[in-house]
Amino acid sequence: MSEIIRVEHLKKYFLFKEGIFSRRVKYLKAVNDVSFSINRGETLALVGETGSGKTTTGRTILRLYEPTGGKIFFEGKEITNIPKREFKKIRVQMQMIYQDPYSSLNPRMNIFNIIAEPLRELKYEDIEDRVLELLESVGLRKEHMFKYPDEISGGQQQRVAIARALGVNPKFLVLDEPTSALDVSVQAQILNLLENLQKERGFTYLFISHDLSVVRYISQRVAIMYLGKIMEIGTVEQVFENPQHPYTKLLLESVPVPDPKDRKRRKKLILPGEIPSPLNPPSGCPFHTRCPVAKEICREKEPEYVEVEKGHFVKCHFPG
Amino acid sequence: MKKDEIIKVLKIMIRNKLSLLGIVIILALIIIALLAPFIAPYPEQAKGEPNLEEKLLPPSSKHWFGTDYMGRDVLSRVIYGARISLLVAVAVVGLGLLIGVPLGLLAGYKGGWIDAIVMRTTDIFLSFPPLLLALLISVTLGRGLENAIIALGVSWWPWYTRLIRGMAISLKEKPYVEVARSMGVSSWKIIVRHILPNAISPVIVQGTMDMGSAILEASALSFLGLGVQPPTADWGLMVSQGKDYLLNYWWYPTFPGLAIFITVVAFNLVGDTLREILDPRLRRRFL
Amino acid sequence: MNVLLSIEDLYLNFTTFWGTAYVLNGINLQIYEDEVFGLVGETGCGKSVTSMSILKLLPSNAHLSGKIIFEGRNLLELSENDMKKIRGKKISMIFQDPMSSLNPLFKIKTQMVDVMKLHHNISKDEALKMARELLEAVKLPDPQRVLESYPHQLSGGMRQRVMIALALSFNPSLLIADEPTTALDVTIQKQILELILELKEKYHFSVLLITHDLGVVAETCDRVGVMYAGNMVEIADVEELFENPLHPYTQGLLSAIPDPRYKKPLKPLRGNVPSLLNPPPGCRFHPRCDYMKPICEKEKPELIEYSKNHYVACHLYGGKRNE
Repeated sequence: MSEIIRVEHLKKYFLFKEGIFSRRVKYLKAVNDVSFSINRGETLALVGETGSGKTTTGRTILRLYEPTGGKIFFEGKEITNIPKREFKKIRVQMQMIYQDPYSSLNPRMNIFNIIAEPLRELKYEDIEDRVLELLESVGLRKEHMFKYPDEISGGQQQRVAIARALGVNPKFLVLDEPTSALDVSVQAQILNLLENLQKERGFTYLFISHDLSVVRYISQRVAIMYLGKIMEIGTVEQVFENPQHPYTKLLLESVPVPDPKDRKRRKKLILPGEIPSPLNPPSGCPFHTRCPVAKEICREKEPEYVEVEKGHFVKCHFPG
Repeated sequence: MKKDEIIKVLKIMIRNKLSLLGIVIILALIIIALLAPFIAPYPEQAKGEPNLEEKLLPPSSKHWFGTDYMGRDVLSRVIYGARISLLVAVAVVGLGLLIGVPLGLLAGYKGGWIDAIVMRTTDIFLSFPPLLLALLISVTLGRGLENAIIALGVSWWPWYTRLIRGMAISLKEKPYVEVARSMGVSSWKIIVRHILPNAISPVIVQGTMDMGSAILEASALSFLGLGVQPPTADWGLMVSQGKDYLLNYWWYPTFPGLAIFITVVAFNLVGDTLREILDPRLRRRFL
Repeated sequence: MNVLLSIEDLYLNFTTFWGTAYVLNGINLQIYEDEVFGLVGETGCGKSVTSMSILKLLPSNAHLSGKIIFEGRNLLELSENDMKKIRGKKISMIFQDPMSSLNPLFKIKTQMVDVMKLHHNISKDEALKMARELLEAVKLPDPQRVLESYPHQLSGGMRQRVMIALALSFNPSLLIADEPTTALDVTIQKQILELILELKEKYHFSVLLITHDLGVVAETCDRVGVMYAGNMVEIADVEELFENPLHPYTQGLLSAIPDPRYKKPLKPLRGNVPSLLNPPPGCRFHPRCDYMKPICEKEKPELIEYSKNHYVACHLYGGKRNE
């Protein structure tokens, strides 16, 4: 399998002034030394709670934020610092689908114009055919073509956003919580659509989500993020069935299971406390403040990645 | 704007009594201005022909609004004055928009040094009290209606620039703009297709309200002897000339003054309702 | 078990600029003492307005008819003054966004003490003591620090705990929780849900939990009502509902949600939730239903007890009331 995206030691810090009059600045280390790669046709899920840096990671890969450090490779070519003009050609092959479909569609343009906009190279007569073809490939019909975004449902808006992205033949898509604003019945429609498109066209997805049930369904590999760092990464089976990091275990334990019989079987394990402020991250292992098995060393020294099985890495002093 | 959206906005505006009043007044003014030669009882006097036998007569069945110090029918002159006032309103705001909107879009979307230059220029303009700046330009350019319009338009555009720049800055962060950029759509097309149509609503509102103020300020210029020159029928000029007669011949300045007042209020009523409809936070109460 | 709250044939319309929205179309449901009743459904199904109807917190363009019996009285017939004695005291409510119920300008202390003093007729010191005890009851780690904080200094989970503390200060017999954890992370969601269950055991109140998340329902509720486009389509014990769903909509919903334990194929429901301005005639679900019969387009199915304690409103199961 060939690699399409690779990030090495990616960092994105945001600068914050401590007060209005203060000259002292603080760094919010939203993404703090993140490395991973995604193979062609694969879905890697980035999972984490609020403030884990998952969305920032996705946006930094697309250079919607300029990276503070580290390297980004797209199809083997480093794109971290290449000039804007050169990057433009590559950027078209990397598209993003947003959490709120409505905000990703210009409310003053109809669906036809939204989808047709990037199809500049086509002749006018061909554009209509192409738009129709794109609409049909996401399960919409001709009758939707001249409607405006606020006249269609959230699920249909997301389909339009996907159709627009298909129009430029991307290779890599960053899906930023693409279904979390949608109703459950519609969520399944979009997930199936994304999965089918991937099969047909060999897309590579970076799927950003906080919903572990959805991640379990859509992705082949998963990375668990906490305070700007990847705590555990592996295939879905490895991470979900054999979680090694205490954070992953507690996170999985917190996910509600749609099966009331499971309620009695499960231990009542609750992850205590709350995620610390990324402006003031804990020393050593970032998770040690909430970790049930933390020892002295966790406070002092940041753990290295341990490969517990092939392709399954954990950043913990005491995995398992 | 979409067609059915315009219809929806119009429907709401007509349903609202105050804005309906504003619309009716403005429509009436436009009709009066267009048909002035046919409805004014003494069109020749409105254009300036003196009628010295009937100097300063109080309102009567022959002269509903009385006559002025040259014996001219005040009603006819007020009717003809509507032409000047509406012309001033549209021209001043139009000129302001023409300069202000493109500059604001460019400054907001492009940022950087373009933004810095445009914004410092607006700062210079805005550091003058508005009327004073118009007065200065007017004095430099000389008297006359055209010069008054240019003076007001030029002192007006920075407001639109600021308004639309702020909108452009927030809009360029929108996902749909991000997507367009990522797909290689040119800056020019992004500004025209994505930024302008979504940024224009508050400017339309402001422009509508400003039409009233433009009339008021043009009147002020006329009042000070800049702007429109006699014997043209202009409300501001009539108030200016009539102010010395106020105590004994109240009708002379009162009716043109009232015309100014009503017009300004009408534009404000319409602008206010437009603002409420187009502002998504206030819109809900109409739903 | 005794019935605490009973909603009978509740209809709710909103007059809007674009016409009348038929938001609730004859809702029936009973909440028993000491139970957690889950109300699930998608956007626009009417689950939140049902709870707002119970408290009569509806905008002026709302028209409500039917009966809401609480402690032997029909709430719809009560005056605003009588409602004030029920609202926040016998029936408390917590919302998705606790920030909207807290004043950002005052410390938690001030806000809590004001509420306690006003309604319990006690001195400031007693009120403060009571506030501290309540914050301890909701397991806030450092009550003193929370009391001295402004709302924005607390995290979402902590704010929700403060809201629960306030809601409990009058020993309510019913706690309405409207998507209480939707804005929170899963780990915090788990904490809050477990807290609500623990407090319920301790203080013996009933909970009406409104949510769109069937996982949350499965983990916390005793009985469930499924709503669709202003109708109650199914009510059952939670295990029965998940094991033996009767209504095609419930079945569709259950097969459309992913399971965190394994990858199962998802079968999405066709189409979209209908507009309430112009709802489909008959059974409002029929345009999306795979088992549609001619009668479904014409007649609204009644909620019937198909098997013991399992109610369904669907023509597949008769659909005529057999009382």
